[in-house]
Amino acid sequence: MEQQTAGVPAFSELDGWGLARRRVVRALALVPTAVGGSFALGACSAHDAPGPDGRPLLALSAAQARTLEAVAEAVAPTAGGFPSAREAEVMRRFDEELSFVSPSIRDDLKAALGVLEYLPPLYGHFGRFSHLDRSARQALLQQMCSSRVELLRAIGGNVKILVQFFYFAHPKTWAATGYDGPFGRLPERMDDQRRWYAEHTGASA
Amino acid sequence: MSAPTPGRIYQWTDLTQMQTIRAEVCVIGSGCGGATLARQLAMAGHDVVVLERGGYYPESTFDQSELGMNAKLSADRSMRASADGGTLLLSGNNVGGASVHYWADSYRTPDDRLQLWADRYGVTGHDAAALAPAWDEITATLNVHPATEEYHNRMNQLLRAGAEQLGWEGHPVPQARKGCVKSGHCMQGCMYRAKQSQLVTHIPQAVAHGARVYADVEARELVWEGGKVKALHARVVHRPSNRVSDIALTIEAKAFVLAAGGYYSAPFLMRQDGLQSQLPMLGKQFGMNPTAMVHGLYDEDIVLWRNIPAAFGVEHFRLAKFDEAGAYVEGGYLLMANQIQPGLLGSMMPVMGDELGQWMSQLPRIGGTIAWIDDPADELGELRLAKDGTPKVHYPYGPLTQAILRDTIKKQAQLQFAVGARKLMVAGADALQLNSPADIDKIDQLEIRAGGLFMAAPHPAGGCVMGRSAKDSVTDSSHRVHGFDNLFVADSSVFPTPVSVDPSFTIMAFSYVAAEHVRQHLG
Repeated sequence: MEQQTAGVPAFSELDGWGLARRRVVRALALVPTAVGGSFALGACSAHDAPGPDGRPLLALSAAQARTLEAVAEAVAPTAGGFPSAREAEVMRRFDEELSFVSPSIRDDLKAALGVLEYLPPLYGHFGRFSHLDRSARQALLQQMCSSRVELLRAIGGNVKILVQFFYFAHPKTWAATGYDGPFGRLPERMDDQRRWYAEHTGASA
Repeated sequence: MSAPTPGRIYQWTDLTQMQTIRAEVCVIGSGCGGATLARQLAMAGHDVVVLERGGYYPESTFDQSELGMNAKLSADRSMRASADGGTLLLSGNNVGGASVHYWADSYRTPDDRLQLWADRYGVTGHDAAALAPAWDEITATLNVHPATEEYHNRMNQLLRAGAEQLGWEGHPVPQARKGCVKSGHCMQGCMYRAKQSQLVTHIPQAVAHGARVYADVEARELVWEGGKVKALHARVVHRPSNRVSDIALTIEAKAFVLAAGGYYSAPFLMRQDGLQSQLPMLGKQFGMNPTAMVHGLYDEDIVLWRNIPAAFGVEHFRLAKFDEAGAYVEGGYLLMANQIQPGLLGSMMPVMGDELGQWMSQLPRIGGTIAWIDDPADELGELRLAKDGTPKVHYPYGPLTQAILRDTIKKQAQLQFAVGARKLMVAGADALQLNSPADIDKIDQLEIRAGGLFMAAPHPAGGCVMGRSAKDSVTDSSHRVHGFDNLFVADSSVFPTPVSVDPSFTIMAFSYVAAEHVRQHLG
């Protein structure tokens, strides 16, 4: 049953919306195919294909990692001394965080990346999300975040929020923001889960 | 009288074999509800075990890292959203529960709310007179006191100045703190033992009186017969992977108390075979204090991330006001200074790319306000189960809720412009920017909808509400689950509606009452 915000038309009622309903439905129906297989893989074991940074992935498939990194590159500032999304390890942190959450959250976010990757044709773009240029990716994300369709808002909004969370929490961004770091500038004290993820992805703990 | 034999805290590394644990009382959950109740019963001489799904992270493991501490302390790493994807659901997952990352605001339940619960929902034995002795004691135990001047950071000073200028009533917020160093890391866990969370107060006090705390243990299945719970089956969690292991624990006790928190207690009961049909109100009447935020850019340094979060609170709008015809006028929220570290602040910025960089490069000059919505009683949501058995929050954001959200965004804008903000950004997908007070009218055109505003919900309430019978509630006023002799609930899930202020002090006082009923049951 579709959850609906009071006063806002349900997705199924939006026939008059700019994107024809049947096109959206058809696109979303592609998602299981697009990301299929990855759902069946356990989140505790590394996927066969590594991520864009060359290291094994635990939660994301390689395709999902590429989509996520494409979002991060679109969202991260490029001027003012800010590091790149890769330097701020956004995709890597996303994979790590996703490895420890409940399966329903993990599945939803992985599916969200699948929808995002295959949505551009519905907005008039030729090609998948990760193949678009940066400005097109930004425009598409903004369209999704302010869409009248609750599902698209949820996908665009949640992926973007998490990407920005992981980006600005990374120490490499702090010099550009003027943040003076955690009180006392203490070194990180890794817990069992950070060490476990590092061990299983070939990183030094 | 000899000193009690201390208990201890066990972790997954201690729990390597299947075993049966026996006690008088088994408490599921170690947050404000469970820890307080365990402390009360242990100090009264009862044999108590506490189960906690999350890990045990003492201050020696804290590092104030925004992401690292979020992983240690927050359930599902703060990545769980409501079913519509529009609201992030925040709760604790560690020994001490959400109190380890809370802001330490410690309001007594307003009289009007206790009266509402009594009149409309039939709650008895929880009026101000009944709760006052508990609050008096907890005030001493947790060193609760109004925030003094030195703990008002620049944003709190501005909030107070703005409230005074606009004629809005506000006060220093009662704080559970002792020797605060103003690190600004309340949400990352206080490594200075200054914030008086359950981790440094009621948990060690319970353990000192013999309570045994089992971290990394997931409660799974109640075994009952004829309305009497005989045992609880649980599993040890392999902490490094956060996966449930096949190491089974069985807990046998005379009484069982569910205190898994507002997001998790109702789902736990819903997973028990047959209980949903026996208790049709399970999961119903659910509120969560959704928040709305407005960020502001100032000419001076604000440094939003240091000192305590909510030294000053604007209570002027706590209750929604209606005209004589019953139409909504204003209010229905608490208004506070915001405090978030750069990751969370950056995530709440609705712009991207270089525009995002322009805002974030001025981080020290970014201020902000936040409001906790007092969920309207007639527009509450519902807890259901996701396919993996975890909570799924369905929340309607009804017409009154939308009006309240719109009003608080306008009031936040009004206040921030009054104290010198140069421009404002509403934390929402529409990226609404306001450059002068004249722009406030633009908020009238803002569509309020799920995923439109960037919201978080740190104060769940309901789902196992207290009331008269199984037709209108899940527990009676003795905290006992209807139809059961020895199964109790002691956390915010028993509240018939949200509290209208930060709920921790209400939760603890209710646990004093619950503990007394458990004691009577034990004889």
